[in-house]
Amino acid sequence: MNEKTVLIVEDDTDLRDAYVMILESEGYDVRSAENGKVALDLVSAEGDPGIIFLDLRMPVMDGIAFLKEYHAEEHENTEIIVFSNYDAKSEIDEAYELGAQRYVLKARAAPKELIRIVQTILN
Amino acid sequence: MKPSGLERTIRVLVVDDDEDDFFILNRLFESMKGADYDVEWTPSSDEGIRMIKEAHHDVYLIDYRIDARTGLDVLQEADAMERSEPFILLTGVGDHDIERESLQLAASDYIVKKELTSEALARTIYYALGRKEQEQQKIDQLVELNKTKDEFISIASHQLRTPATTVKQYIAMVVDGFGGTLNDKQQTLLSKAYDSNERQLTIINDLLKVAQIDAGRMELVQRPIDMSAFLRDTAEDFRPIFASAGQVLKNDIQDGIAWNTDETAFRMIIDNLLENAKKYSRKGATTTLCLELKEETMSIAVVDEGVGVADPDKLFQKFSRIENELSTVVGGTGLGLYWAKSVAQLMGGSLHYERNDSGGSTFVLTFYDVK
Repeated sequence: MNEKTVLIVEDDTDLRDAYVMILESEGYDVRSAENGKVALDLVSAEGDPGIIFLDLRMPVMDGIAFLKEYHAEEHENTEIIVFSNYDAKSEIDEAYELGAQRYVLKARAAPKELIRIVQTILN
Repeated sequence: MKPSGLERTIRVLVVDDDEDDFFILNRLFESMKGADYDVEWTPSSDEGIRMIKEAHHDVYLIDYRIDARTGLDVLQEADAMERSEPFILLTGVGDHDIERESLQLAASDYIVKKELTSEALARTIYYALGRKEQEQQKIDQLVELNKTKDEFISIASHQLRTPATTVKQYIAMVVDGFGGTLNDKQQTLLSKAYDSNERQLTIINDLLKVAQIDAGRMELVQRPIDMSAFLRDTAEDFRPIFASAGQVLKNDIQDGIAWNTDETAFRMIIDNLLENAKKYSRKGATTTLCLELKEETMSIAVVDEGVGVADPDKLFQKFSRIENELSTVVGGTGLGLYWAKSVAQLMGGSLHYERNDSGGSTFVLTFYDVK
């Protein structure tokens, strides 16, 4: 992976496929992982992406546990965006402490919004 | 059922300014059989209230007339309604009015001093303790039941949310042309599906947020923020949303106001107020987001030119939906403002409504001691 790659970490298959499809249609290099563990393995094998979209609630390894292992401060060129929900305030706060730079509410992650975010960061 | 208080020494507090009466009462306690009593006495109502608040006793015997107060005053000031120990009122004469009033103020019983025998006193205390204990068990059961209900709502809503979010994503993709170009009719039909799904998600999210705050699980993480910049940014985010409804969002924001708050939670309150302003206004209307600091009181107001609220008393109640010309069009759960007010209070402030000169609504958040 390189600084133009977007990594989607999301456990819901249909949602993950949708995010991948949306960003690939715009020509981005997109990779995906179904939980934090798979994402960590992917990053250590293939290097850092430019953006990680990270779901917070996932089985095996959730978003917070991923951030604790990943150490965002050692990956300056990767922007971490957490996918979240209205009621997950304390998790968002914790993710920020652990190096996440912004959050996107899942209910607001419409295709155009996702594309806009990725464009702003990568272009 | 035998009250558990009788297994051990029962700690009694007598509040009575007549020492002779206390002397007689104490004699009755000494001659009682079947349980041990540890009786403490105070002739002053102030002292009595203070001792009741310390909650070191199992039962309270309060004289109807003590110095400047009545026993009923003592019940009220000591929050007898909120207490799990029984209060028994003592009086010189029988009087139905006193009896009725004392029971309204949560006294467990009412006894006439001159009719008192040690058996009658023991029985009164025995039953008062037993009833209070049963009452407490019922309260505990209800609290537990309410918790189960909150957990159920929370789990069910979480399970409903993921598929609803996925549906939203795919409909949005089709609408945005990811599956090819749509004709106008297809576009209209899918837009209806999208809006309906959007409402469904709002309901689910509102249920989750309210279940969280009701369960006391909402924690605030306060950090210093530049309130003026924060509200300007928020207005900037919302301007296109108002524009898409043919409305205008303006701001009137005082510069240089900093405040310690939980940014995420605060943003959700403002989002809620702005979304309401947009929902309950027609095309062409203007909404203004205002910020002002005056004598350490910070007011944030959302002033709209919408349809207003017919019944403001119900506005902040849970599940209240107040009919107006637009309520059938926009839908809602009646949870948003309940939630917003609860969070504002958790932050030490308040949220209130007033109707403004345009006939629309003004919602004002107020916070004190802002330097």
